[in-house]
Amino acid sequence: MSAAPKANPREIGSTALLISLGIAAMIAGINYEVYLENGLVGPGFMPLVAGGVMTIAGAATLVRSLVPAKKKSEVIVFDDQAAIQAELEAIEQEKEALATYNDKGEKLDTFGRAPKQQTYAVLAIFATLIVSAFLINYIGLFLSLSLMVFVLVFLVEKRKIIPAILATLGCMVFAFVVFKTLLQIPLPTGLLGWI
Amino acid sequence: MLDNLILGFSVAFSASNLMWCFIGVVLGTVIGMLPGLGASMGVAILIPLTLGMEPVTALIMLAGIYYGAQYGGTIAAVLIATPGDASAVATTLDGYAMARRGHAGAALSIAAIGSFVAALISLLLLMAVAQPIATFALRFGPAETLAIMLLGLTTIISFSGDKLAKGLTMAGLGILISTVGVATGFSTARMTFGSVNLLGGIPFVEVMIGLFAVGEVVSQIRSGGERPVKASFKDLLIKKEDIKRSLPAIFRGSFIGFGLGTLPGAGSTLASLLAYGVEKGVSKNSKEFGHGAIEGVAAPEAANNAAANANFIPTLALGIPGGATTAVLLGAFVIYGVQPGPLLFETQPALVWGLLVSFFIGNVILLILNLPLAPVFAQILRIPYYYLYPIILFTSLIGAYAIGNNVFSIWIVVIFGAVGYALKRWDYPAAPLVLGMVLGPLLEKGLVQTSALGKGNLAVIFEHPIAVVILILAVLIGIGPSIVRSALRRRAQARATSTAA
Repeated sequence: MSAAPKANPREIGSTALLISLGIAAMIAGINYEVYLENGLVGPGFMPLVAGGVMTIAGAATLVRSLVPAKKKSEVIVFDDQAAIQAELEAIEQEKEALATYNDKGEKLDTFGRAPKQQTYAVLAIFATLIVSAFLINYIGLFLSLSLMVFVLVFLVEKRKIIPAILATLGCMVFAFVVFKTLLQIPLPTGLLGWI
Repeated sequence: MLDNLILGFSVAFSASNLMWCFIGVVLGTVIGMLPGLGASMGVAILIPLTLGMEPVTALIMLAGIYYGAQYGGTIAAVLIATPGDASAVATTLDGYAMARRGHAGAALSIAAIGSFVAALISLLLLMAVAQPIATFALRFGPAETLAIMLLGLTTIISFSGDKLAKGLTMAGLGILISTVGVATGFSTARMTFGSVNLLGGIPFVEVMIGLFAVGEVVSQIRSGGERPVKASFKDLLIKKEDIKRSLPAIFRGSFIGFGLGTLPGAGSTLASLLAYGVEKGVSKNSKEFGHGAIEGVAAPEAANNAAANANFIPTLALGIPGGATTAVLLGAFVIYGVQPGPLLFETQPALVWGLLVSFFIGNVILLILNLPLAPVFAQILRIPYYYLYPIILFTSLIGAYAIGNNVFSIWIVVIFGAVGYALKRWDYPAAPLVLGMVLGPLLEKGLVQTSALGKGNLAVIFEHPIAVVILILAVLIGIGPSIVRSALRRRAQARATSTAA
């Protein structure tokens, strides 16, 4: 069965990014001296080779995504493919039967999110991580990461406040016991100079 | 070998090593079982926590996580039917089928027994084979070392499967990342963009934590998580006849797994599929396969476990990782100042043999835990992911700081978390990236030394017979799995057309 996959913009974009990275690496490698005077391998050799591999392999990926190709099945040792496929589909259907839907008829995942909300969740998590990292220099690592846990459980996952506080406290206790008491690693305290 | 075993036992049976072995395998089972976690993530996150320990203790625990996760993954495959990777498909088909019929207990029991027997067999073979390989490898010079590194890189081909081009891109990226900073032997600072923090290179463990912990968590959120389907435990006890039926399957699976797992590369994935296929081919009950044949669980599980243990042969004896998780473990070795490879057996026999004996102990513990306690473990599956993942992120970030003592480490984790997420979205395999990062510096060292040996001419490698043999082996390993795959594919298609006709 051969399907002709249309050129996926995400695929092209990501491949182009990696190819440009490869080319940049090759240029950097050439600038760093690929070979030393006596012909020995120099600091630019590896970046050049790595960049070269990335560029060539990336180009191959690009070509492949543009040219329709036969889809090979992953499951190859099973002779009665049809029966196996039926079994797998039955499992999927059981899972489908348990699926829940929201008012708009969009399928909700195990976290209760519709597809669009999933993307927002991802962005929210990264935003929380980045803000937490920035805050370390102001309120210290311990407080900043504990706050991060609370924000994730309470705001991103929208759980009730008591479990959120418990989860946060749990992390704080764990961190205190393991990192301060057992490992005795000094954690940055930021401008507050607290814990 | 007997003195080595005695040495190993004396090291492994210390109170602290026993305790951490226990902790490691329990953690590993939990980590392997919960969807959204993984052995690579577990090992990466826990490396910072082992900073205060003796290297051997830390490695015993981390290795316990690695093979404990095999057992945990079985529990997940049987109970939640999550064939997250191709190797679990085999277990899922028959294991989950058994679970739906109320025989989850039997499926888990045979998986545990099969894994344990496989572990015994593979560990004995490992102990017998690893030392001679290491002794032989002591004769390696720069040319041979370079050949070994190239061999390690060709395993990327087998890791990438059908996504060869993408796998190679990732390998290139991994090597590129490893070149950042001041390289040993040169004085140029490469690609540091003026940052003082980057002079030492991009730190390995933090990248692993970013890729496998943060990246995995975010991918789980994006893909929506797994929904466990309820399995009932009507019979917890396994019948004697079931065990009798499965023993041959276990033995066959163990040897297949060991054979394929010894070769660095994605042998483990292929091992369980091959074991399943072989078992189906030779079994009298082949019609039952796919509907709850117990041999269909025993064989791939034995193969999985045997392959996981066999992965340590290239890792310990040659310094080439056998897989993504062993690559992270390899990084852990380096952090503790232990360089895996031929010299390891000479310079640190207590550590190596203590570690190997701890594998025995760990598998015994796992058998004892899994046989009666699998249903108890299954309750852990009830912990909602939305409580777990903030804790994972918390531990990841604070662990990263503990390793690097610098907020820069935390930024690396966040950045590579984004990278890991992007890789999953764009369907790029992560294992080649890890391999590139681990092998990159070693490859460069090999290149520099070989070119010095040949006075500028790298072709000197062909003048060393051992190196040439290794290179030929590398080509075989590179092409081998794809040949096996297409042969199996052709046979399956032929069977399909003949049954249709």
